[in-house]
Amino acid sequence: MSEQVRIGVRAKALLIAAGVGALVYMFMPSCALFLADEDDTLCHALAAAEGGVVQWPVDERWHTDPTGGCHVFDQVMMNPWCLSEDAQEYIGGFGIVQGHNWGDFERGDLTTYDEESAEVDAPLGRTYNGYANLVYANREGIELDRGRSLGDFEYYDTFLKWASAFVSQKTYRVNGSCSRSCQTVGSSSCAIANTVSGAFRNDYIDLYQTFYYDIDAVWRASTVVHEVRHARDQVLHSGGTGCPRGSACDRRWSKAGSNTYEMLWLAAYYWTPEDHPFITPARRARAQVLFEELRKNAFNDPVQWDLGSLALINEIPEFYVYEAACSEDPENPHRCLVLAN
Amino acid sequence: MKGLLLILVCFALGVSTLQRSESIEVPSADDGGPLMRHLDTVTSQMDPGVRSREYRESLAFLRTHAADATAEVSGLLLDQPGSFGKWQLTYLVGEFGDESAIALLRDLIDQPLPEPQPAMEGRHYIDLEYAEDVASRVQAVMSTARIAVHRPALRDQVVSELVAAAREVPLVKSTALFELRKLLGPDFPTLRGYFGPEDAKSFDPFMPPPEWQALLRRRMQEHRRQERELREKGEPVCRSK
Repeated sequence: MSEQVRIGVRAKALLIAAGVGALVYMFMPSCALFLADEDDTLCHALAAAEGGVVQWPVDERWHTDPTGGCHVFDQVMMNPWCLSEDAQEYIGGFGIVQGHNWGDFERGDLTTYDEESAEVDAPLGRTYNGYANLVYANREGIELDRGRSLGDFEYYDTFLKWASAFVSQKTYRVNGSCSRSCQTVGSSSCAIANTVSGAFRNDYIDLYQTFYYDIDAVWRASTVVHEVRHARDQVLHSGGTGCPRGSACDRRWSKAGSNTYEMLWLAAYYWTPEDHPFITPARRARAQVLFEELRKNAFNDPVQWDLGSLALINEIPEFYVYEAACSEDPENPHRCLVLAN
Repeated sequence: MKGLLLILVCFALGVSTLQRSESIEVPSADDGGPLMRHLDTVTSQMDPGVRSREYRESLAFLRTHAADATAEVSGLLLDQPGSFGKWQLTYLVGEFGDESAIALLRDLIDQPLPEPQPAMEGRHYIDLEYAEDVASRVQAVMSTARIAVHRPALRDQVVSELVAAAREVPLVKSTALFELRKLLGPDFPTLRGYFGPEDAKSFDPFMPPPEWQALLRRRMQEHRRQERELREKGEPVCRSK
């Protein structure tokens, strides 16, 4: 074979390889889209609905097993809002009614449940179950007036009451989404929710499939408190990627960011009376492990205190809201010594 | 050729997806006898807990067969990656209250944590599997403490296990100290000698500054009064079936 022919063959081989590479590159987005759909089982279920009946996903991939799963806190009989239209209206008032995209999830599905397990199975219902933890952790339940000044601690005399009003007053819109927003297809590293905040009252929270189907109702509630701190208050994460939580890190507890607020709420939930009619021992234990998980994973600087330090959070919430969470005041060494990093 | 290549790429990615999406495998109630059936019941009824008749009956059975029940779930606790189901079983093992669970839970606490998935700047992804792995280890400490509540005879063994965990496993130190404080009450300060000065704050109960004390007293009185009244009314927010 002459030198010219050999060069020609090599050039052809190179051209073919380049062509194949270009084709792969060109087709990758459509392939990724195909697989992303594979991940969005909720979107699939909605698209495949026949006669308005949706087969809700049951593939909570990282949180389930055949005998239970993260939906054990979703039982109809343990979530009293299911039986009360007033309660549904009250919970809808947390910004869900104003939210976009809920039209995909028919409102009629709100109170549907799995007949065998008696668990609320629709995304909107599971969202309400999350908010139910904010509402019924208070003895007042839906009787709590959420519209008073957040400085009125004679009325909001427990952190749980204050937090319910805080969530209500600082939320504008809560949107539904059927997407599962994960790092890669099939990954366990996912976004639960995302908040966009603006200078005007146009902030909104998007809830993803992971919110409804991959985490339990107590975690859903603490996530709401977390996201709301991003919303009207516009307090964003300050810790870069400096903790195991990835890019949802706060630099330190005393920055009073979303992770601090989420922990405060979990602690308040934990420190309710043992005979609380809504907070069962399993929910209380769940709040404790979620508190510890955040304590260990969500801050760049180690948090120096523990759940015991917050034992009085439902007695004098104003101290924790205005003093403890923000204290780095060198003029007041007692608070800084005990609570700040 | 082009189509084949595309199919191959998609297939490879799809296979990796399927491999990642394996769920925790708990033997179903159909596979076994009454033990599995009762395990199934306590798992699905763990939220109402003792308010549910089925839960009470199944828990009573499992406490009678606590060693078998603990052995049945031990593989899941030690071999499976983090998941809500794993947390649930770790919680329930504490409720069964068998002595063998103390060592099992300690093995779980001692297991090295996997690395969380690397973060992507600007995307607020949370590694759920990693978070649940941490949750299960924290729960293992809490469940160890629960064994002493159900079986007072095992209290000394539980206390020494929790002290050891607090001293040796930084991840669970604060939980172990917190559980010891709950378990021992006024005797908790007797453990001070096992810990260094950096842990002093765990032994000194937090009190807000003096200017908050009067408000604190008034609120505590008011809240206890409200709780008494509600208890006397006796109307639960919700009922189990």
